[in-house]
Amino acid sequence: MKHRFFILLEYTLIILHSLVIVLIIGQERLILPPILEVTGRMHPLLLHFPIVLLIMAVAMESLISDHIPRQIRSHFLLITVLLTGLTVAAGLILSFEPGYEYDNIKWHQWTAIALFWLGSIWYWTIDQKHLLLKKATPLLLVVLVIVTGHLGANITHGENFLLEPLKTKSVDNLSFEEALAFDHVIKPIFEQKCISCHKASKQKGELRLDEIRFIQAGGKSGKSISTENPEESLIYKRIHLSKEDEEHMPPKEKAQLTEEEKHLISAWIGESPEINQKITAYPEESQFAQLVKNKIEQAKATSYPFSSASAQTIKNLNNEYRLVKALTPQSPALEVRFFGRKEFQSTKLQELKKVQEQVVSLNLSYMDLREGDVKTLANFKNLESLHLNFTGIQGPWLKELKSLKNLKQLSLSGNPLQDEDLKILADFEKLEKLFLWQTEISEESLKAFQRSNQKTSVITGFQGDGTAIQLNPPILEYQNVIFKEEETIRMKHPISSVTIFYTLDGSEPDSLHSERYTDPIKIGKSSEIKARAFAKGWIGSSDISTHLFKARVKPENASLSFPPDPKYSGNGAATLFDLEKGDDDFASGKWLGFQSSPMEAILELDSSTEPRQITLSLFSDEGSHIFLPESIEVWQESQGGNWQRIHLDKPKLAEDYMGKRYHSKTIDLDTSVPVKNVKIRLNPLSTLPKWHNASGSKGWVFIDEILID
Amino acid sequence: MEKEQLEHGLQHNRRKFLSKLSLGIGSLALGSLLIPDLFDRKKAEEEMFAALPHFAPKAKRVIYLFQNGAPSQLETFDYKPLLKKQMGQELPESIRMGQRLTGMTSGQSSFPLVGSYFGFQQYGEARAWISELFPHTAGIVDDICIIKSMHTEAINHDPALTFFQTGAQVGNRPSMGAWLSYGLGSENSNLPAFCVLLSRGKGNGQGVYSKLWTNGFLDSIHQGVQFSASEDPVLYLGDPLGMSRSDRRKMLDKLAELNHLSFEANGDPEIQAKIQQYEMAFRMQTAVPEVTDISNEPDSIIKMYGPDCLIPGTYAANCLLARKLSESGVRFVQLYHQGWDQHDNLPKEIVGQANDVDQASAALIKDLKQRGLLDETLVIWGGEFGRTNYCQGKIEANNYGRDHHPRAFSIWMAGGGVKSGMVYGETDEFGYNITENPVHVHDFQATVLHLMGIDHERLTFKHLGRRYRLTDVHGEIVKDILV
Repeated sequence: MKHRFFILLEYTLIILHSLVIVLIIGQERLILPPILEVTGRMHPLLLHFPIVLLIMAVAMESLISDHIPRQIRSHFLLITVLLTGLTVAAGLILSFEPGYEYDNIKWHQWTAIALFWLGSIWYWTIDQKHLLLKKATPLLLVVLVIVTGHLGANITHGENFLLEPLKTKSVDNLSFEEALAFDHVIKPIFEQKCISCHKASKQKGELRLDEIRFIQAGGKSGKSISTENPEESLIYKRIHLSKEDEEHMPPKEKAQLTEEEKHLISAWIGESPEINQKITAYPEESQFAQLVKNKIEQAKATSYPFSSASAQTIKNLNNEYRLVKALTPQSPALEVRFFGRKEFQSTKLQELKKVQEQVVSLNLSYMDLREGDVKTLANFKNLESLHLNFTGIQGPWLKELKSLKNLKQLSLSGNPLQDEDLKILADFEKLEKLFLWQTEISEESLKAFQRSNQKTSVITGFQGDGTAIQLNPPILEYQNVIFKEEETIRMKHPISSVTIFYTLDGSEPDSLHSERYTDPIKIGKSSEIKARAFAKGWIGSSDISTHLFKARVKPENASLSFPPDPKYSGNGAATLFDLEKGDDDFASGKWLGFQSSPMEAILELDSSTEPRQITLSLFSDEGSHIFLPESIEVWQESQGGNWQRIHLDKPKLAEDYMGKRYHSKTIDLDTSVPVKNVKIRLNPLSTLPKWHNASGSKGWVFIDEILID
Repeated sequence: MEKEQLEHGLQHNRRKFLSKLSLGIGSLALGSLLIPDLFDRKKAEEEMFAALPHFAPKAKRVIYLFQNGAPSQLETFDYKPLLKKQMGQELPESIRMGQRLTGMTSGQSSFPLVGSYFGFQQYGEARAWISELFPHTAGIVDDICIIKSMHTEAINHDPALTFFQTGAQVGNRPSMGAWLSYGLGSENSNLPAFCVLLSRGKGNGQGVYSKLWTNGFLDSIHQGVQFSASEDPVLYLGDPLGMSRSDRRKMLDKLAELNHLSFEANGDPEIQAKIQQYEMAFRMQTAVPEVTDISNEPDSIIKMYGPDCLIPGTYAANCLLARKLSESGVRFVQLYHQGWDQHDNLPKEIVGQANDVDQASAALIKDLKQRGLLDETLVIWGGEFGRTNYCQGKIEANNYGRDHHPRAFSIWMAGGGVKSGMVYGETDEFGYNITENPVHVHDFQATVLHLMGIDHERLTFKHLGRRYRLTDVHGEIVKDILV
């Protein structure tokens, strides 16, 4: 007894058969309610059921029929056939929509109908013992499922969808000379991304993109290209719309055009798209031809005779001091760079054995290489670019590299190569660029080599344009500006070929009369040190100078007769003896400033310490109205209590703004008598000179230390 | 502020968010309601990185020689003989077209045109006009592409600089170098991917601030690392006196152990980042002295850059250091040379500024070229805007000045995928408006990213509920200057 439900289903099957027959006969003459149109569009969803269920049903009947009760098998087959019928009906309804040409879907349609009918026959005759029916029907059904499915897929995905990966893509292995604009450049793009919807069998928007004449003809929305106004072309506009736009092409759920493809299509539209001409026929300035050329070159450059190394291998080889990565995304070729001279060892290079086939670019510059490393390099047969700048590589080792037949670029700068080593370098046939500066090879040899090896361009780098330029001054290093007994001074220069000459008395050093610096100098008294650097091929540097002060003795007592200006008063007299040098921030408190009154300091010295000299440390910055004093006076108290002037001088008046500068002035004391009280007087400039912008007003005097030796 | 901190936390790690709210399932639901892609975020980000670079890059590294203060285009690359002819005449309103003025010339009643006091000559295949102030740049004219049609939106230094560097005039967005570090990472993991070098000319200067090389909302490892001219090029990198390298190693190992414990306990990924940063700093302790040591540079290299390159902190020294850093795999080296703000005293100051940068900039190009690196390194030279064609203040026999001008200015680019020996774009006879091929700052940024193999529309970071990118919602690649 059949369940009532299945009887109902059997009736439905009969109704479906009638519907399919009506649809076949009626075709597009039928006016369908919208609900049926929706059913039609469900075709792509429904079609998966019959494919799976039919194959399962066949398997159940032919292979495992003994294990499954007859009734279940029968019910299963009924459901299968019903869904097949539903799919067929939906397909027929869908085919009535515009864009589907009968010619292109007829085979799919009829194999599907055959499938439905044969399935139904099978269901109704399943209990027959007829052998042919029992054996042949399932077999035929399976064949029909596969054929129908494949034909259907061709309609939606494009005719070559399935086997596409096995084919080679046209433009990439064509030469630039052979390539045709539409056939080899544009059509392959359309085939990949557009034609599944715009072709003879499926003309969405009544547009076909498989031939130039159809593209020119355009579709429902109008002409697809406009040669007069390329940017108004429909194709151009649609592919450049935002992806979210309804009108954007290809639809956002489909594979998108790459930037490069968009560029190509846009350029093509702009340059006589109606002719399928050779790329070489385009004018020289053509952007399209240029893009195609790049594309072809890129394809060539990225085709290698080896396969990729595994991602895991590459990952394992990467560490902080060795970078291994694909030359370009998706390329099997690898580039390798080494970092950190101190970390480099021969084993780090040997570890690359696993990828020695894939490495095409290797940069070992600045690593310390040994002969053995160069031997290892010979195993990287596919190397195209090898950088060995400043690696200490020696000429004879280069022989090892001869087996690198693919080498296009070789950098050997900064290595002790000799003239005769050029012979080896002449043997690299494919070498395009050879970097050879800062070697011991003579200029003449390099020129001769370049003449006889036209194919290779030799980069010999900047040699200097013959004009000598001035060195920068040496660097003076010392611990303290003010010292008690002795100070050591070191002189340095970043260029190793430099010789430094110096003086200790403030006179100009030169390379003839002055002392040559070899070892650190010990300074035992207040001095002005000046030094200059000289080197062959350079103009000698300007001088650099520094003042070092000896402060052996501190006064017992010191006082100022007039207070310093309140803004620059520091700690009063104590500031002058704190042994702390001021810097160019004269308001830092380390300097005392005087303008309206002179600086007059009275020092009380202990004569048993035998003071011999006084050094004054001064500052000038004309822009800030700070000048050297108009006059410097030193007085010494004689035994009788009378003040005697032992020194008077008038420093030279500055003639222009000279910037911030430091000065020192050393004055000998009268040691014929025991030295006790000393008075120092600095008189500020009474009127600033005419050239000064504040001419007429009073000058400033700044002093930070008085040092006694 | 608290809200931002919370949001920041959410951005970083959902576990933290969940535990902070301590509401278990409830907060899970709330979290996914408030931040719909809270759980997709990682996936989306991974997908974005898997696609990088988006296409084969033309340039692997960038050296950006920023001329801070805005060098005048009219004394450098934009030759305008008309200005000399009409010296002292009023700028016609038909040319000015209501262009806003800065506070410095808004009070000026007259805008007298002033032509360059410096001569120009044509050089190279492109017959490019270059001023006599730049003889060395003239020597490399066939290697560079001069863009005369740059324009920007800002009219004052700080917003204009920030705009150039981060794509927005307000702060807090990641700098170009940070974006590249984020997108492409570092080639050499012993050095930061983004390094910053500062120098200062004698001309009127404008400050630079660390917000110009900020990581913005990106992870802090993408921030530019400033190299200073002192004995410690990278601050706080050296070990204190008495600490040996093996002591430091032991200390870091122990610290990493503790950090791992803490990571296991609360799973904050920032901890992992911290461990990596400590390790990198440890490696930098040897890598930085190696890269900053110039004592092994041959004489010919020193002569090429000029002897100034031996004085740390000068523009020339920074150019040489930039070459060394770039050669060592640093993704983005950003230089700033201050002192180009010639409102007054232009004829005197610009001579000094040009002297500072001309030889070293040209040397950098030559040096990269002779190392075979120019093909893969993009070098950019330029300021944040241009200067007016009229005089600020009075024109004198040996003195004039120029105010800020955003509507047209010149920069040059070289190497890594940019056409060489080219002049792109044109301005009108007054050098005031662009007449041909305008290049907006966002277009420039899109082009730089493109050269580095990045689609500027696809390198994004989601922050405070929206996706950000360097070019914001703008930017067209300047295809004409690409090789």
